[in-house]
Amino acid sequence: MNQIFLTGLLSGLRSRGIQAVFFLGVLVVFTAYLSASFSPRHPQTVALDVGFSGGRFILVLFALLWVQELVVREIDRRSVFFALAYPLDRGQYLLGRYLSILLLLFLATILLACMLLLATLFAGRSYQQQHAVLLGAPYWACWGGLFIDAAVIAACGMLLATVSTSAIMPLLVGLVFAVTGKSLGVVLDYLRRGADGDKELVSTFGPLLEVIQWALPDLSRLDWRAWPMYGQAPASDVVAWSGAMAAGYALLMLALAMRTFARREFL
Amino acid sequence: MRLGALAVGMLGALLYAASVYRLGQVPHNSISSEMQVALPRFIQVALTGGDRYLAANIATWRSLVASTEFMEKDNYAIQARLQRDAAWLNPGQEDNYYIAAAILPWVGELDAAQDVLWRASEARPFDWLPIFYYAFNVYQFNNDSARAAKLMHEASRRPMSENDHYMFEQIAASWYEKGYSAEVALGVVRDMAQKARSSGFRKFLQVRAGRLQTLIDLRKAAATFRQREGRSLRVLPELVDAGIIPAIPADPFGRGFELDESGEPIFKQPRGAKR
Repeated sequence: MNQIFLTGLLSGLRSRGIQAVFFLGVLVVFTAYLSASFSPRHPQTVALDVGFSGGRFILVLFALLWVQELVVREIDRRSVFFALAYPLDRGQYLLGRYLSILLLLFLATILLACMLLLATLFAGRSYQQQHAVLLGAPYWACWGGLFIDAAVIAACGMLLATVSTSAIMPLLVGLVFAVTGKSLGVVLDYLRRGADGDKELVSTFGPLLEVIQWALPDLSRLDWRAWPMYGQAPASDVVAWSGAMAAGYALLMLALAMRTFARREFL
Repeated sequence: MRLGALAVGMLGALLYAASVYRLGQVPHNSISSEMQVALPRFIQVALTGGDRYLAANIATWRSLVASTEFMEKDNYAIQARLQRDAAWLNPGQEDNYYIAAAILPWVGELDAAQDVLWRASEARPFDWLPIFYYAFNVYQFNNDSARAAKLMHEASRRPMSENDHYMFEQIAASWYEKGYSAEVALGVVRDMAQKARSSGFRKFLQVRAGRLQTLIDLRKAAATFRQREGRSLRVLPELVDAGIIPAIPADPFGRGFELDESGEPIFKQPRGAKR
């Protein structure tokens, strides 16, 4: 499995799609820096806010592209047979690949976080805002949440890769999964607070969404940016339960992926 | 074959030249882009990939870059909805509550402004500004000095310097004692302008402060008129006829001034707006 992990890591670092996404990451951080000038009152907070939004999006893209690069393409080109020629079962192959994606995601998170940190510090040079942003532990905790978010999406991508017969499907469905998972919390929150008095909306979609939340994780729970931006730390039990939700869902996805991959017949 | 391709190419070039010439004579449809649409919250969040903070930022930027000089009541209603949405998506967004305080109550959207400010006040317990503006609006627009003073006491309990704390207590006391004064409103708007970073926004607030100063001058003139004539104004030009002012001052926002039921000069409200 170590060999699978290492080859996955090297392939991930070498792939061109990833270089393109890296370029996009630099662009997003630069956009975050520029967006600070839109704010008359709190440029550093806006730079952070936009940077987190961009980073969240880029990490999802990274996760799905690495799944595409390291698993889907290998299945598509049949080069997966060479990897499976090692004395290990298919589940270990998938696990090795997933761990290499996790490490790549971790490196990408650190890189993005360092770039955004610099952009935020630069954004605050010309104006001393009244309420300072917190660039210590809260900042890194927020990136930790975004990393976990991407890890869940990568696990879902692994399952999609093992069931998919088309090369593009895991990327597209993975993106839909990510957007839906991130929107779910907002929509549930809106309906649970009465949807501004729209009873019909609550009665039509409320029960449906209450069911959907058991199938889709509420990824907005892993967005803790209010902490570095406004000093509002999330409650520790909420953080713990959100982490448990993410870990549980990722494990479930991986287990299902291993099972389907073990039974898959390559024609 | 080559001749056919050449003919098709020439035909295309001719068609292109003719259409460019014709379209050059037709003016573009002028579309007012100021605040015409506010999408449902679900759509705003979906369009930003499920990111409520980004959706809040986009809504705030839309409010920030809109030119208020050309907006009418309908546009302000959309801006109010947009800012309410932004406050729901991210109540801590500082620019959103600041813009709401600077624009919305002055254009007949007091409820929306107070909603945005109250959410911000709850989401930002470390910040005394949202509750201060909330109190100021109660003072300025609801004419409820006692409630405004009570809110100022509440604001003074938030983290702030000792000087600020005493200043808040003094303001609260004067609101309890004296009731409403337009000079206080002018002071608040001038302070907002001074603290704004963007030069465009600062200029906007300075123009608004100048407008308030004009209103104060008009009210002083109306008081002189009352003293001299023993009755209230019926129409504004009476001030010119009585020789108190040389002309009715121009409103930098182009709406002008009018009299309320008691003959006191007020800003002319956007068409259909609540007073």
